Amino acid sequence: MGVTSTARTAVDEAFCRRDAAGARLAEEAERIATACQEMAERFRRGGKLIVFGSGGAGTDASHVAVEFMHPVIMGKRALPSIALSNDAATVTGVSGRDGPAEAFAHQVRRFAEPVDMALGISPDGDCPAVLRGLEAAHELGLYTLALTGGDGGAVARSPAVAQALVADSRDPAVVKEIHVTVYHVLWELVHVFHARAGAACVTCADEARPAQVMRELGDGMALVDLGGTHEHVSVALVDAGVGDTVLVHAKEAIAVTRKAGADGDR
Amino acid sequence: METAERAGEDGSHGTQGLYPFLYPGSGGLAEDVVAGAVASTREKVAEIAELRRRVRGLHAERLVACARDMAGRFAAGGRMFTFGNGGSSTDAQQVATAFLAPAAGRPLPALCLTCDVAVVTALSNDIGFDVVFARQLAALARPGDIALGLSTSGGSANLVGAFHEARSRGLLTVALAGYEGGLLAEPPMAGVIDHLFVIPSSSVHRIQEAQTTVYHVLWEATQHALRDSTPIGT
Repeated sequence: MGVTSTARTAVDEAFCRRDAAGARLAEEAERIATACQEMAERFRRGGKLIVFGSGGAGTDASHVAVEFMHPVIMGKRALPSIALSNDAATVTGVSGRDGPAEAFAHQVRRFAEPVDMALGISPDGDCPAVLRGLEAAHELGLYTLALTGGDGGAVARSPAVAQALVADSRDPAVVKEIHVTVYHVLWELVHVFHARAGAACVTCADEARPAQVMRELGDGMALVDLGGTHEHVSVALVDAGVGDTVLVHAKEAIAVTRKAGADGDR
Repeated sequence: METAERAGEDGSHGTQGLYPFLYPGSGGLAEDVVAGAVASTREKVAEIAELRRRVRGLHAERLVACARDMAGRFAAGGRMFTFGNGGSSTDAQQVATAFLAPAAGRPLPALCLTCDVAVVTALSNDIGFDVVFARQLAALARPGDIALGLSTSGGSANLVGAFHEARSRGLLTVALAGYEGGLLAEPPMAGVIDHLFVIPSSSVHRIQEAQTTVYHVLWEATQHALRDSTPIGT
């Protein structure tokens, strides 16, 4: 009997533990948006995103890099990003020679340029290698961003960190889950800001974005929802109505990709 | 605040309304975008909270059954092999390290099949990407082991191949998928996958976030099941 009852209790407790901490993430919305605006500007100037974390956070670093390098959403451009935890030879080599705290700082000093961004991930905020990596990045003039949890730890308190986003939980598994949502939102908002900045650019051929028509405004114009932000765009070239999904390029709807009520829409 | 939207409503749209970045003096747009970004963040936070609640309702009981099966395999000396593509490969690595090197609890043997770049690229180059996990299972796995694969679409051919290989070798098979489960939920896979957890969402991001919760809860429940089933002194 013991097996089912305590495992079942554990599952229920585990799900409950996630609710409050997840909800408190909404309070970080302004800081997340501010960080994304800065990141979009640096990507626009040719910067790259350098990500690092130890242990499980190393898998998050890889996830962030692949998110930016190979976007899952069609039409989003690839943005340069590298994960420093991926190279086991270098990480173990530097750790063995100079100590584990130098694993990322060493690589930052060789790869980074001042226009770049450094994102360090440490669920308890006390990983020495992440802290040293962010300090090295700060010294070189990079924009420094940290994902931590608990009380934020030494990483969140470091003057070398420009923006620390702290997941409000002491359970490292819950912290990780909040981090996944945060970096998905970071990626999405960086593209929102990046696309806005690119609106004046005539070479943004791969920036066509899907949008839903909210209201027709006459004169071939419509109010649309572009991934959470509302914009006025021209629908003069297409036959689109309220609820339709259109592909928008440089404020011009260039195609209707889904009619209102079509199967599969949310 | 002179936003692009207002410029349109009072009839002054046109080039300046459409391309405000061409007119540095028009200002305001950045604030508009920031406000949208903040609202979008709050919306995503609410979405994932709601999705987790649905996943709990759908899968809590099934997660307990899966954890019990996995604990039984580990207790008998079984090992776990994890796999996935892209973002899901990072989750496969997280699952492996969560079981193998937990901060607390009993360390269990788990290996991620995406970590050895030499093996992955050799198999992909010489045979094909579809066999990249199946061939590793054929070489490494024994009856009594566990195969755990993650996919958001449920449509990855190399996962389907891996699960067939795992089934033929007597492994316990566990799959995490999104949308409606894709190929992994199709009838041909019914006898191939023992425990399938489908996250009912069409957002790749929200699916991955909910999958993270599912495998963390699975780890925790497996630790509990192992404690319950292991006689004192062993």
